[in-house]
Amino acid sequence: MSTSDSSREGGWVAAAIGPALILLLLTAYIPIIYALTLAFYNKTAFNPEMDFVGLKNFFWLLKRDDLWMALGKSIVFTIGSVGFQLAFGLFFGLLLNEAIRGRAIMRSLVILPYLLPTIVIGLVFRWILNPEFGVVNQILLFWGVVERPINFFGGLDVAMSSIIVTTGWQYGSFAVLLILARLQSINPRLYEAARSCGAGTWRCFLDVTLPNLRTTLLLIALLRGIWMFNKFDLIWIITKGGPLQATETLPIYIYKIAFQDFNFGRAAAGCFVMFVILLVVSVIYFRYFNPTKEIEVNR
Amino acid sequence: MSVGLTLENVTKTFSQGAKSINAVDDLSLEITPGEFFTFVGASGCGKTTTLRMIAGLESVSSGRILFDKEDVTRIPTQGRDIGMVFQDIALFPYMSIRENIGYSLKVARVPKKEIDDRVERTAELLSISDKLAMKPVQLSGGQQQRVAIGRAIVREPKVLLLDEPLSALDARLRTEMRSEILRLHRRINSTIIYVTHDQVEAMTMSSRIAVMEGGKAVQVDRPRSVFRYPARESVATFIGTPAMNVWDASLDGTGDAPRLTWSGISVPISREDAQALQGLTKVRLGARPQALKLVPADEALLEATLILKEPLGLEDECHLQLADGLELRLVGRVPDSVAEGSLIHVDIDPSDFCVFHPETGAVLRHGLNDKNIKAS
Repeated sequence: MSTSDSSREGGWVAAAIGPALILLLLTAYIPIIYALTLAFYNKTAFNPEMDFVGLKNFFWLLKRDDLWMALGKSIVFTIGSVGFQLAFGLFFGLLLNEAIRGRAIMRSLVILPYLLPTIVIGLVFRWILNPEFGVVNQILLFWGVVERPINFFGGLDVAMSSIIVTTGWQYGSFAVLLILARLQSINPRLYEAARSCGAGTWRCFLDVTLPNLRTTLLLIALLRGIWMFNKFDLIWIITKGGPLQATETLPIYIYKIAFQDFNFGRAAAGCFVMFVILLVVSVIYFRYFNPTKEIEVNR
Repeated sequence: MSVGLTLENVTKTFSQGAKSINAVDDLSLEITPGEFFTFVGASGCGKTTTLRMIAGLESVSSGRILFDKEDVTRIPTQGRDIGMVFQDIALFPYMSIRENIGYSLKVARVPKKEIDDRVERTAELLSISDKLAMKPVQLSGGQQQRVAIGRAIVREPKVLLLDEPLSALDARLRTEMRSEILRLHRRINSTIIYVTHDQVEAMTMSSRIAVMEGGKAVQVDRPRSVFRYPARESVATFIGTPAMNVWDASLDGTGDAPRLTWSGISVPISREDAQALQGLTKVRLGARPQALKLVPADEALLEATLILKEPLGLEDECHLQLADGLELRLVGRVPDSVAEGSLIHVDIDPSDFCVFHPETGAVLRHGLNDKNIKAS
């Protein structure tokens, strides 16, 4: 290829990806960089000036008990919700993979929660789990499981579990889809080989299904883990972090600093902290599990 | 410990909507302990379905399968004590070779130490001892198939089932593995049931073969017998390379001088032959390419043009054409001086003819009796 050809090709490449890159720069990268630099300034809604304060925002933040409590809540919420989603995905994935009646309809139904807007899910669950009118409490009372209605989103000890189940239900279908897709691509000959070696149903699950799902489960855990760690909307819609601070995860806490205290500098420092935590966890994850390598070996 | 197998009226029906097909149709046969038994046939003949029913991977629609005297028809695969090797090998990709071979022992909760011993012994038998720490993906196709065989034989199953184990391998490897499996059979002495579409594999490896067609075993016999005395025209053309020549001939000259004629050639046949063919005016006549011999003109039965010559090394495979267009194959040594396009003279020994029924394809005569048949 001559020089003029390759330079012309370079021109085409620039023309093709240039606009997208500029758009991304304007709408994503510049705001992100601006937000992160805010962490080093004293910037409040009432002060038009921006004073450089160095690491002061970070020192303030790291000394707050609220931050560490929110971090703890975030970890509980992330692990709980991702765990619920994996269990949900595994159960329905395996169920829908079987040749059962109405499988096609079930498969379409299972994806529905994923398509619903978060605001709808938030409101619906608030009604379903409402202590006075909610259908769940009515059923529990009717069957005599409980004597008094449970205040699912208002009780200090149950609010977090209720939030976990709600998000788990909403995003579990994502796990179902990925797991189902993987299950269907497992070579049926592997099951036959295992059975010819004397393996029953349980051993087939342990020695064929699980190893084949390993990569998928790890991938869901990573993707959903990041998502859930950053999750804001559903928690805000349902509990706003309450009761007291029972469901106040990091994003909720940072939102409150920004839009209740109107201290954008400190909120930006909080975002910076979250970003670093996710970065460190992701690096560790890839060092230990490396999902892409798994896929290569399994081919 | 090897067992004998009995298949009693085994039928497998697949239904597609309102239509149902018997993939295996009322199949009955006995396989003796230690035998190397092969199901051979074109694809869709029911051979693999039969094997899968023996393995328990496919349910039996009707009939019974017995291991020795024990009825296993309703016993699931994992309860049958079989070993199986699959066409697509199907090793567990996430397990090491050691774990793959030892899998059935692990499932049976054999102590770790004993598993190691037996895996190592099996690996030695298959010359893959140096591969035990590797993963399947690091091995070549032939080595992977050895591992699959190792996995199947390590617990010394009652019967070893092989479903086209060599068809995923290239030609040279296939020949190598063929003798390897044979050597293995001599050493472990277990009953082997083998499925293949390759008649060469069936011929070279088996103690007995069952030629399958449309879900039925049309002939069950030793390989040499199937080759020499095919039960039907379809078997005759399926077994042996190149395929047997079969063509139309008419039967006439009743009474004292019965004869078969085709392409202007007339062959007198014995009275016994005529009796066997009684009532027919047309038959299908067959002769193996190896039975066609190049002879001097005065000894020849027929005269043909050599239209194509394919050297096989020692011998040549020749395409011949008779005056009326009938094409025959000949396998034998043809001198270099005989070039394509030249006229050659061919004889066929009467005992090498097979006569088949023109409609049913059933064999009517293996060899013609008259020792002095010549063109007249």
